[in-house]
Amino acid sequence: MRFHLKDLEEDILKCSRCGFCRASCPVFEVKLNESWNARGRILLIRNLMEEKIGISEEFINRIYSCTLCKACEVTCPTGVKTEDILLRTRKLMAKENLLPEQFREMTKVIMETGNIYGKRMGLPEQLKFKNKEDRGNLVFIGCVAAYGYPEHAENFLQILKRVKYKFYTLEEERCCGGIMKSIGLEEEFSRWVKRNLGRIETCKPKKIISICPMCSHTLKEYVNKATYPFEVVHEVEVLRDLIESKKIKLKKKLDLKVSYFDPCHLGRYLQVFETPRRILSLIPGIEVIELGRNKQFSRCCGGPIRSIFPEIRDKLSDSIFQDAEEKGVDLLVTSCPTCYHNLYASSVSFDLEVIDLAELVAMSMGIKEKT
Amino acid sequence: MRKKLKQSFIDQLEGIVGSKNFSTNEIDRIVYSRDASVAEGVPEAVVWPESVDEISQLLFLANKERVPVVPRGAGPSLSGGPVPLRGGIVIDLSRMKKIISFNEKDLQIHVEAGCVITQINNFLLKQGMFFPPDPASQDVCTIGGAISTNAGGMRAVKYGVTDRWVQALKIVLPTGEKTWIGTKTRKSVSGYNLAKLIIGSEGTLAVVVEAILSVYFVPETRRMIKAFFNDFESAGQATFQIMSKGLNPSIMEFLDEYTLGAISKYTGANYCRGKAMLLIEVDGSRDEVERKLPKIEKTLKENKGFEIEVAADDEENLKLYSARKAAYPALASLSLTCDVEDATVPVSRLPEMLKSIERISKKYGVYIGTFGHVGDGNIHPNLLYDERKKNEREKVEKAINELFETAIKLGGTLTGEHGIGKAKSNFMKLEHSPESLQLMKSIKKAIDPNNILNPGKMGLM
Repeated sequence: MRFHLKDLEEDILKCSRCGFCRASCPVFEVKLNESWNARGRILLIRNLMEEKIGISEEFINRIYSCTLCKACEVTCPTGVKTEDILLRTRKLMAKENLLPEQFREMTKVIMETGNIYGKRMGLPEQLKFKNKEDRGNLVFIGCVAAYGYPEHAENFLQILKRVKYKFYTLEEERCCGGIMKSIGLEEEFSRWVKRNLGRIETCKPKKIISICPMCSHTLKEYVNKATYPFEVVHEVEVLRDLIESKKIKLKKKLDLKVSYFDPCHLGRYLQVFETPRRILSLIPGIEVIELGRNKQFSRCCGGPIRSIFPEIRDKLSDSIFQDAEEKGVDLLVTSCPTCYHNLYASSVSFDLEVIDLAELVAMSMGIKEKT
Repeated sequence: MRKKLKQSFIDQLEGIVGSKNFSTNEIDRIVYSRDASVAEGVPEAVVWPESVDEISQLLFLANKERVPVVPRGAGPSLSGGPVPLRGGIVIDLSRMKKIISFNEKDLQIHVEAGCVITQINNFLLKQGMFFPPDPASQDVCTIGGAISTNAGGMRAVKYGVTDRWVQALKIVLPTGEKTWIGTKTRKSVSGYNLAKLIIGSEGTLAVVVEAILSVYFVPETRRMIKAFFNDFESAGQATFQIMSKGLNPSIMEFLDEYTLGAISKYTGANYCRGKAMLLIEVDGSRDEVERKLPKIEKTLKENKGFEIEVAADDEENLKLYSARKAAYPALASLSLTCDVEDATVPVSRLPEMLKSIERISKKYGVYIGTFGHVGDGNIHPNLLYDERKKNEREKVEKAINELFETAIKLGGTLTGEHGIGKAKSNFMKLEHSPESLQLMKSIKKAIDPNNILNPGKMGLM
């Protein structure tokens, strides 16, 4: 056999095929076909392991159509680690170059340009903050916020500046590499992390504050901290601490009904559910109405599969908006630039906008005007 | 041996449902080859119809060509019911999931067969109503699947199983004819009760495509009580007395020592006391619940129950309910494979059944954790093993055979709620007389003369 899937046998056989993942898998919610949910995918891998089927284009599609959102793990009664099974399967497939071309291309682009946008870009001036001391607080902006949504990063940095929170940024923002890990390009990911770590090591941070939840997870889980141990937090955790310690003063009343959308990496991966809600509850005039599917059961925005299945991504983001619309809220709030990107694409079809949490904080502080 | 599907047939099939609702791709077929049982069978085509007419045309065509058709809901089944043992077509009804109408005057809801029970309940809860049958798979199982297996659940002890809540069904016969059966009235003795015949027939007689269901008011309050016991007789006696005193609990669950140990390990809370635990819920108006609680407590005490505890509030209710819900995941975490059986006996014979399970576990050296709906006499022995090991598989098979034999000897039934499917097909003779089996076969033959609907199930043909 070409693949050593036997290593996965015990994990695969833990799936009792009860199908409880049907209740949570967001991709299945769109496709309503067994081969597009966790039970189906694991059964396919099992059949491959037992040499009952081979690898076909459709097989590759099903394995790579999972957003790795981990929602299935929440409803799985036997504790199947679907994300891990798929990561390991993808790793074997990627070694044989059996991954969708778009992902191979995306990795090439990241390797060449340092970011997912495919061109070398300088960090916008407003995001440059020099390092003045060792063992300080590094804000790891990440490529999506730095180059796609610099205004989000700027809001956060301006908040920190206003309250005289000491921090600095890197001279160039690069992809954290999380996407390479998720598609199974393990060697490329390891090399990339080493390069990123090298850059981080030179400025010896004590704490890294990331704006993107995927960066938080990557830096927390996969970066070796043996040389210079550093803490990794997401921006919402810093905002909450500054608000609770009264350093950030939320003065302006915003009079808005909002729903908060939990990004998978911040929520199910890092288990940060209450922090963003706590921040929202402290902004005067904000009323939080939970989405029908929230916290552990939150949907996925579809970001990880948008390049290969744009139509699924659209439907996933649309369903989040439909949920918010049914709740009758004024705004959908999130705290991930990638989720923002995907939700923003859907927002045109709804009479509802998406906003980054830091922007709401900046508005209540009076740094930013309410639009 | 049936020949492979002809290309012309495949083309017609695709023409009926459209290419986006049709597949002969290996990847799609393989995932429809299994449910949660050991049964296996790969279909030749899978379709996801979106209308009753499509199903009708499809069955007409399949009947003409003598191609097996297996209807399927969410497939959480433990019996092999929706597994296409003889190939053919799987009809996945998941895309027919519209709630068609709600009649608040008659307390009835009209739904398509692919609606999930929780989806129906989410809709009903907004009206202060609910659909009482609560199979463990209610978050995924379709109403069509629940009807086809006459699904139960924890609250069946008070509210009954699915058939009590089905008023009328729209079905498609194997020949393609569509018809409504049943009634919208609360009473009817008009002709044979065809709806009851179809309910629980596991897709062997007709495809259920729509249903009109009765619903009920959400009770004002619910309270849970737990008690431990040092022996099965006392737990069984307490169960029997609570049921026979008309205290009408809405949940009456039993968990054995082994299961309690697993839950304790799994949840971190300590439930390890004595030999067994009973978990009881009463629901209704506050007055009614307050009136029943002391009577239940008294009965538990009289039967040597100890550490009896009434949940003080919703949070404590939830804690106890969650402990019970953790029973299966907790047991499943102890081994690679966990087979859940559902042999059911008269409530008065429960202590004997529970002791037999212990004996069978020792005799074959198979770990068995038992919990279940003891108020219905419906218990779930969970057999833990490693399906990769032949000797363990053989031991489990023998243990299951003896479990079935014991249940039947005690005046019980092979299955309280999971269904016969493929898994218990060979045991039908244990429970049913030759005449009764022949009657079932005659009914099948009369409705499905070419045996195209879900062939090879229920020990029929």
